[in-house]
Amino acid sequence: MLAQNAPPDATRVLGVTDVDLAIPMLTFLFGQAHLDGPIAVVSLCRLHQEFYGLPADESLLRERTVKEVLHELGHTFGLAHCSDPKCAMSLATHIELVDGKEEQYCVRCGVRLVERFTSLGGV
Amino acid sequence: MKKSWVILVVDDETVMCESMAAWLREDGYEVDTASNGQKALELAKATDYVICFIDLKMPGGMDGIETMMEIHRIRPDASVIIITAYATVDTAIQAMKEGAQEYIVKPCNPQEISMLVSRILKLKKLQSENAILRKKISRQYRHHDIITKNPRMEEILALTRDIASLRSTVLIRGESGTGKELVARAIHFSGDRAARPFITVSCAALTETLLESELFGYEKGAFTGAAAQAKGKFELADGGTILLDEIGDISPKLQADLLRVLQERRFYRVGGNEEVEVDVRIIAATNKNLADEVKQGRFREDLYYRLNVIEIRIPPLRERREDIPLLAEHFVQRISCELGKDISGVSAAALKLLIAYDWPGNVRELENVIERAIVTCRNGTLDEQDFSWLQRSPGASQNWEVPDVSLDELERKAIIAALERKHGNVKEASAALGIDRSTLYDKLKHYEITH
Repeated sequence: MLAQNAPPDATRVLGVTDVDLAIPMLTFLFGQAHLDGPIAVVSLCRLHQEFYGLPADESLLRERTVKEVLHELGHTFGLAHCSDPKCAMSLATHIELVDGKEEQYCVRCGVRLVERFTSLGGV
Repeated sequence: MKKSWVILVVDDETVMCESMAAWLREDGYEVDTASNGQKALELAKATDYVICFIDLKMPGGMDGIETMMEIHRIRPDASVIIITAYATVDTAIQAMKEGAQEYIVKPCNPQEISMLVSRILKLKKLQSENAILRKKISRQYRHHDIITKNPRMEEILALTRDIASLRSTVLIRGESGTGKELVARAIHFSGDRAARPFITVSCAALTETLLESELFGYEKGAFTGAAAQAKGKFELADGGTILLDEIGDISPKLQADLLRVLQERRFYRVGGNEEVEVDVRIIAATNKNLADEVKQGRFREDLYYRLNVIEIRIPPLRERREDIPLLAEHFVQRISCELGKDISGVSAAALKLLIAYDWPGNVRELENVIERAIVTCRNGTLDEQDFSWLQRSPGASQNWEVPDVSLDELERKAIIAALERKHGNVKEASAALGIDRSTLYDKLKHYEITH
């Protein structure tokens, strides 16, 4: 559906939803992307403080969303998970790990991303 | 690094397969998918998968367990993780029994899968590293590290291979430095005891009582200083091989004890009253002629026959001179590498010298001589000068050639040489020549030698 509604000049489409995502194999996901593909999706469901029974925090939600968007977009540009827990590309399987990340890629992932952009004809 | 690991996911539901694969790909692994057991096997034939996720229940044909067993036949090293929809203890137990590494219940926690995969890969890395190291060690003692083109040595190597997996006692005879321990190791490491311990005991190095406790171990309080029970070499070598080096030097009492071990494979620790049973292959080595020792009454005849089930006599290096160039080349390569010196080889003239030498210390002496030459060598090749000190050694004198001169000239030269060696001392020189001092004076006069 995301692919069908994409503008013709878009190279990547990222959907954002409030619905809790799950793939058949796993119980939940913060997001999912086609590795090296055009489509990605991020779920805000488990990024809300309310999901964990805590009072809402708008700026924290924004922070978490940015991190997960960076993460899933990274996948669409061929990046795999990073072992640096501060890097946006590190694997987060619960919310504390998301909060441990910074809103940017580590140097190695950044370099790889730039290389990928260059090979795609520059952005 | 992760790229070399390929994972296979087998599930009849495409959506399951794909979602699992997508998740693993995000984690940086290469992933293939198969919708049934048959397809999985075809893929496994072409690719060496490190991990296979296999769904337990698949309709028609092969189920998960069958697929796993078939994959194990093709790829015995692949780890199989069984995926099951219901957590029943029975299926889990059955899967593990048949050789699954793990099982997961779907849908599962994403963290669980990532941790499972990384744990298995960590294990794989250690296993392959361990295998490489083991190979390295055993390679040091494999047959082709005994360097030879001598027919008698080749016969010995063939024999070591033939007897490697037997339990019969072996007696290795040979002068010191001929490689008795190397042959013993070759026997051990090419047989089915290779993975078990190989233990060497030098019987000549220890006194009788020390050797006794060294071999058989001791109980706490057996003697002053025996603070705790200690295992002897026989116990430590259980399942493996023990090399009793210089067996000709053991005392009559130990000969009797050893005979009992050979007959019954049981013994008592020193100060102990509980019998210890061991499964040890015994290899004995000696540079003495044990048959002579038996005749002289110094070695028990019954022990000799027990030890001498298979006899290997290693020829001294002077009886296999054709191996000297090969060995020299080998030692140059190994030692120059160890010492970090760039030495390409041995010159033809130097090789001639090495071949002519008698090598009383055999291969070990050759190794030491090469090492010394490499240490002092100034250029890239070992030549005659690097071995000049070897010519003066006693062994070389046996190759002394009589010069083509008259008897008088020979005598004259002998006297001059003797005086030079004794720094002009006539008394010592005459003693060395085996003549009277007065006779020497007469000859000095006769040959007009001034000293």
